[in-house]
Amino acid sequence: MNDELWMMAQQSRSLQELRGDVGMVWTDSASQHLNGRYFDHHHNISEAMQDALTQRQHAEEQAQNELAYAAESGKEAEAKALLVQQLVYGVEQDIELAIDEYGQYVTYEGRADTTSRNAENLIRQVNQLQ
Amino acid sequence: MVALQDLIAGLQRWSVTASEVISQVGYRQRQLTETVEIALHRAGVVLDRAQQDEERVQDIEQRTNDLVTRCTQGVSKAEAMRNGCQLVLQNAQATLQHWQEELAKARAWLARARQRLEAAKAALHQAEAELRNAEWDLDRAINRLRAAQNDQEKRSTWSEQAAVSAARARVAQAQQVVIIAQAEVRAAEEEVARAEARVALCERAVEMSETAVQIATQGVQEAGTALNHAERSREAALATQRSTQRARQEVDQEYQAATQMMTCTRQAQEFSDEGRVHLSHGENHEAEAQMDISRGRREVEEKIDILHEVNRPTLHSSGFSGGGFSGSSSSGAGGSGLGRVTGSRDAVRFVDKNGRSITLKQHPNGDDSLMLRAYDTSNGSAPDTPNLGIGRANLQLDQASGKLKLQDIEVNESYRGNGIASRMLSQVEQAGRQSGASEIYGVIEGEKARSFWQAQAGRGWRIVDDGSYYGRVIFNP
Repeated sequence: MNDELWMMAQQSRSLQELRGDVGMVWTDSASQHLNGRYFDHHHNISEAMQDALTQRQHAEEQAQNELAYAAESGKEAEAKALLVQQLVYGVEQDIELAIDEYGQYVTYEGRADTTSRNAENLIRQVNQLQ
Repeated sequence: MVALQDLIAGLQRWSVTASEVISQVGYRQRQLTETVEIALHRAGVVLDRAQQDEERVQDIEQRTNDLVTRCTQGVSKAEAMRNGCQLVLQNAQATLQHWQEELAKARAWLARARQRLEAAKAALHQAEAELRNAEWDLDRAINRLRAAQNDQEKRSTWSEQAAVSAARARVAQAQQVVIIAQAEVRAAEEEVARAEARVALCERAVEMSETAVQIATQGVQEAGTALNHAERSREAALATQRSTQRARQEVDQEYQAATQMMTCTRQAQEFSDEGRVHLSHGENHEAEAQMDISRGRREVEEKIDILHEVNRPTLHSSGFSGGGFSGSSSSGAGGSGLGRVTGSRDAVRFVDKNGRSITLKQHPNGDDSLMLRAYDTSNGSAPDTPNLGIGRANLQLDQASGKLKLQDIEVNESYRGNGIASRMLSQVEQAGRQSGASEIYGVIEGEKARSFWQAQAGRGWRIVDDGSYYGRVIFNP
């Protein structure tokens, strides 16, 4: 129970004690009328109010718990996001490296193809000599 | 009447407290709503980022898979290219070997042709020498024939004629041999020419084959380099694929955590909404209860007025005037009331043991009631109207007896043990002295309260009871 609810409960309890004190010295019909018309109802409605505030407090605590879970999940998500960012950056670097190597391969393959064709042509020319 | 006045004061305290509590709770509910809204916004941002990360990872997955496929195909093609270049090199080497062998054969043939030419030339020389000898013999035979024909003694020249004929036959034969030798020389010279041409052709073929081998060797090297680059590109692509798989796992977890964050925050929103509904109920109940308090209080006050009328002489003789409390219970002078006597609203400030700035402030409530509040003013000033604060004490003047009732004195748990209650008690004592009350009294409940009041014995507070759960504490200002 938080301070406000505790204070409210204290005041309500104190008020009931005061009503008890009055009830010991004031017992006529007017007192019964007063209690019956206002204070009993006040007591009930006060308890209903405290119940409502207690339920609200409970709801707030549950909300705070959920917010705490959310914050934990958020931290985890942020940590993972950072890791993903680093991994994606590394992957981009590796992709560039792979593409660069692939480009070198294509260049040398083209050269080898041309050179090989030149060699074949030359061999063909040689074989045409008689 | 005291009990009725206590009841009035209790109703008033309940009313003030309920208003303050509803206000405070409402403030907390608004704070909660704002916190939830901020958390929702933040969860949305985190979820959006997770979705963006997921899309980025999906993109690099696609690119990486394409790259791995392309690089793997590149390795296969590079291997095929290298094998093809090696075959070309082998072909070039075989061609070179073939033409080197042909060149060797041609050179051998040329050597043989040259030997034949030399032999033909030698035979021609010999034939020509034979022809010259035959012609010389013919000349001698002809000369002998002519001499014999001129010799008168010679009866017959038959033998000389036969010798001439024989010599002529030898010349003719020698001429035939020379012709044959000359033909042989020409034939040999032609063969030498053919052999030389063949050698030249073979030499050219060998030269071209050597060039082809060199080019093919270069092709093999280039194909090998291409294969190395293809393999490196495939390794890099596979490394990329592994990193991407890791990124996939992490982004899945990120998305899961972000989703969980959003789910929890929405759940918090539902609880917050639920709390708002409860608060609304509480506010309605509070309004209804305040109405009861207001109406009930009026009837109690009417009852008190009736009792006042009945007890008026007694009240006057006790030195009270106009429902207020005089400056001194013994003076009997016109009263100024507790609110006015102790009405100084000057705040007392001090720093507690934990370094927090605490302010004590008095809030008079009419002539008969004084609310003393302690506030944590580390981050702000004390309010002008009574709020809950972190410590509370309420004093109520009992007009009939001229005594002050200390209805409660309390400090929130988190602030206890810092001397706040003791300082508040000093203010209570001071209020008692200023009001001229003969006594300050209060009810104690429980062992904890009893311990507190026992500790105040040194400053004049006495516990008067039988040691039961409930007790009474008294101070004479």
